[in-house]
Amino acid sequence: MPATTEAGVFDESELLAKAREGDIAAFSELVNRYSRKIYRLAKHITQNDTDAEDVLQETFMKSFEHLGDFHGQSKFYTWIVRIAVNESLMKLRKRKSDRTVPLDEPLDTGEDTVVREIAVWDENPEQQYSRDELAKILDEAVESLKPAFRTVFVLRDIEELSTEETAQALGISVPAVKSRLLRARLQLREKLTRFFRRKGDDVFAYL
Amino acid sequence: MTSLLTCKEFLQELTDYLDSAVDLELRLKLERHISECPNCFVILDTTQKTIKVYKGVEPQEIPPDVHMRLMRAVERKMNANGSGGSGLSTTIPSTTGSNTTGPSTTKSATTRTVAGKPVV
Repeated sequence: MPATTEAGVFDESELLAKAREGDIAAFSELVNRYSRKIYRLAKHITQNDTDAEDVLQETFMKSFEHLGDFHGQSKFYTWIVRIAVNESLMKLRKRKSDRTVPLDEPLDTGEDTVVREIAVWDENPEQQYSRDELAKILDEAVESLKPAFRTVFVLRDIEELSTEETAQALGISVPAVKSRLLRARLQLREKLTRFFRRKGDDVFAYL
Repeated sequence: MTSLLTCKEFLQELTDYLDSAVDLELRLKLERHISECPNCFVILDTTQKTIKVYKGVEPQEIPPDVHMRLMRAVERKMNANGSGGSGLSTTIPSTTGSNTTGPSTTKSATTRTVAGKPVV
């Protein structure tokens, strides 16, 4: 993987200033800092390696192109996440064979918060699995969510954007973010319970 | 003010509670509910663990060929924009290696049209 460069000693505002002046090493340092997260985000939303690579490249191409418009009102990372989300959503919408629920379809009826599985988990359930096994379990669970829920969960709980930033990135309201996040979290909790429940504790399933 | 919440009301507030986005009065009501409702306590606990387990996962490395194509595209883009800054030789892998294993998505970044401008 990329080596640390001399640009690595600069903080982000210095890197941005240098990148705006056309310093390739400075911009490359920014790319190296965030490319893994952008690629993960794109893969989670598009669920497709080729689309994710396209999104990765487009995100940094556009961020470079518009660097002069970025004045630091938000964090650089938040800014490029918004570009990546836009690119990823365009990929989803372009996919003609995609039969999943469109992102703008009304979903917030409040009827899908039914909890079916109630069981105690181990204290540190992730420790039962190897890193690769855990990554597979978590990725598959996220990928099984509808796009509208998946996208909100990825931005809020994986990329750790605020509710407001998530709403802005997706062009939806704050209440819609909260509602979708609740459903995503509950659905994931339910899916992961299969893997993480404490063995022999079914007596705690009260329903 | 001491009225008990139903489980449904508790669930509706769960995300705000987990994100510490409820006022004191509501927080006390929610905590009273979980102290008396074992099911909701388990749902709260396992939802907290769900969030924690995802937050703890570091992004994996990008496949080397994908990374190489990205850095090539960045380099082309910056050179096309007349960048006079220092080069990339210390930051990207060699571009002379094999490039046949991944999807053939190498971009002609210098000619790509930018469709929209991100809002800052």
